[in-house]
Amino acid sequence: MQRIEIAARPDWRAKAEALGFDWHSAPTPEDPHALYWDESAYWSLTASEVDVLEAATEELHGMCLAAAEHAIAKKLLRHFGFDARAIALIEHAWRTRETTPSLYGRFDFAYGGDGVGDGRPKLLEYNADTPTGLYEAAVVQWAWLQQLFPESDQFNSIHEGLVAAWAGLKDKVSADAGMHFTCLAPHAEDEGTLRYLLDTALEAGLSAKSLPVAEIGWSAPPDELDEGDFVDLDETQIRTLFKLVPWDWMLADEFGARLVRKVVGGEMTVIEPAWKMVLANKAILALLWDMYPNHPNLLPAFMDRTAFAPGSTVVAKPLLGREGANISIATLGENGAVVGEPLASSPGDYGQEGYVYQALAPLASATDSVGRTHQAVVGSWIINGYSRGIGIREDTNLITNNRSRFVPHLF
Amino acid sequence: MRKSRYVTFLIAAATLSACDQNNSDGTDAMLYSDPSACSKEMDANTCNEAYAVAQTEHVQQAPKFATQAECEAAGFSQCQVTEVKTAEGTGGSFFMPMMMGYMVGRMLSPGMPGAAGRMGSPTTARPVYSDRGGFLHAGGAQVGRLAPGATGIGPSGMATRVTTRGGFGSSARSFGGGS
Repeated sequence: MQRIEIAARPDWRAKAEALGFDWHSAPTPEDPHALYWDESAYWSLTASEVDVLEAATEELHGMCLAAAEHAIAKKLLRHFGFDARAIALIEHAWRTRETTPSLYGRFDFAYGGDGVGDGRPKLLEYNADTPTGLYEAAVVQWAWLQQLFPESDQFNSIHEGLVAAWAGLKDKVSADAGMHFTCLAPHAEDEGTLRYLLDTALEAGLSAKSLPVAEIGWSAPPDELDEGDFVDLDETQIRTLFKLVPWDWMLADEFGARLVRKVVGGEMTVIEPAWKMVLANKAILALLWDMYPNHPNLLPAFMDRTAFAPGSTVVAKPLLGREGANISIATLGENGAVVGEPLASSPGDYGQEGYVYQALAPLASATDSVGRTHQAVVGSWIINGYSRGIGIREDTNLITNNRSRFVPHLF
Repeated sequence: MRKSRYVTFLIAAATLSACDQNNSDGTDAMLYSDPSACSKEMDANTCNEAYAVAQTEHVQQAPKFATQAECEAAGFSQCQVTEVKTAEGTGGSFFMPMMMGYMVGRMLSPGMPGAAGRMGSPTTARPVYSDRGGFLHAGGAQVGRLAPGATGIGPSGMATRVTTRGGFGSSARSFGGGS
C-alpha cells in the first residue's frame, strides 16, 4: 500500500456536489477549510493486497456470526452491558434471523501490506449496526477513478452488492408493505447515506419512503395508548424500518419499549436487526480473541487490562463508543496500571458502559511532501455476506474519528 | 470482478431530501420531476435524453386500467387518462399512473454495453411513481409490482386514534448516528 500525492481536480467540489455528495467538507471554527473528502492523495494497493483484505473480511464475517451465536447461547450478553430488555430483543432477533435479515457492515482494519506489522489486516472494530462512509466508498471514489484512472481498478462492487442484497431481501421485507428509511435530521452525512441506501433499495424493486427518526409517530386509541402502531407522517403503519440510528439510542428513547414490543411481537422488522448490536459492541473484540486466540486478523483484546503483560501498549475503547470517541492509548505496567501519560486520547460522551482493551497495532502511514504523517484505516464492506470493497480514512492523529478524511484508492 | 459495473445517481443526486424536516409533507419528494429540475444538477442534454427514455418506458410499460377507480384501487396516487392509438389507427383510452418523476442512471464505466464512453451518457432512465401512501416505486422492470396490499397503504383515516411524535431521536449526541 502506497500513498501517492496528486493534484486535486480543480472542480472536485462541483463534481462531488453533482453526485449529491454534500458532506465533502468538515469545517470547524479552528479549521474552516477542513475537508472530509481529500483527493490530494490516493492509496495504491496491489492485487494481492486486495485479495488479502477480501479473504480477511469474509473470514471475519463468519467468525463474528459464530461469536454472536456463542454470546447469545452462553448467556454472555450481560457482560456487554445490555439490560434484560435488550437481551430479550437480541435473542429474539437471533432466533428469527432467517426472516429479519442483515444488510451490511464495515470492518475497520489496521493494514498496510508487507512491512506494516506482520502484514496481515488486524480488526480494529466492526461497525455492524450503523456503518457510514458508504456513499463515498461506493460512488464518489468510483467516479474519481473513472475520471482520473479509467484504466485502473478499484476494490469496489459495493453498489452492486447493495442492490443484490436488497433484491434478496425483497420477499422477506416487502411482502405486504413498503419500507421506511429513517435517520437523524438535519444531518448531511446521515441523510446523504440514507438517500443512497433508499436509492439502492428502489433500484432493487422495493418501494420505500423516508422520514426523520424524530418524526416517527405512535398511533393509538386514546384510551389504550400502548395498543398502537408506529406510523409515518401520512399515518401509514411502519412495518419494515431501515434505521441509520444506533439500536442503543433507539432503545434508550421514550419509544424504545414500544419498539421492542413491536419487533418481538413479530409486527415489525428492523434492519439492521437487533443481534447486530452484539457485533457492534466492542466487547466482541475480547470474545473473538477468546474464541480465536492468535488468529492472524485479530489483536489481543481483553475486558480486563491486567491480562496484558507489563510494557504492553494498549488502546482503551468504550463498549458503545462511536466515531473514535473516548479512546485512549497508553502503556501499561504491573497489574494494568497506566505508565506515564497516555500516548493519545480523545474526548466524548461514552465510557460509563465499560471498556475493552486492545493491543495497539501499527497503521499504514506515510509522510507527505510537507512533512505531515498520515495514518490510514481501511474500512472493508461486508454486504450480504460478501466482501464488496473498501474505503480508506486518514488522519494525522492516531485515533480515527468522524472528521478523519476519506481518501480514494485504486489497484 | 471487483470493478463496479455502473453507478446510478437516482435519488442520491436528486432533490428528494430523505430526511429534510422542511420537506416532510412529501409533496415534492420526487426525483427529477422534469428535465429542468434535472438540468440544475446534470447536463441538459443528458436530462432530456433520459426524460425521453423514461417517458417511452412509461407509455409502453406502465400498467393500464379501464377506469380511474381501478387504477386507484391498484394503489397509485394519481392516475391520468391516456389516449392510445395503434398502427391501424384504432385506439382507445386507458388510465395509467401518472409519472411523478424519473430516475436517471449513468454508466460510468466506458466500454460497458450501452455506454457511450463518456461521463453522463444516460443508459438507464426509469419512470417513478408514487402510491397513495407516498411510497416511491421505480418503474421499468418493476412497473406494476406494487407490493401486494399496497391498496391498504395510506392514511388510516381512523379519527379515533391519536398520534404522538418525538419519541425517538432524543438520545442523539452531537455526532450523527453513523459510525
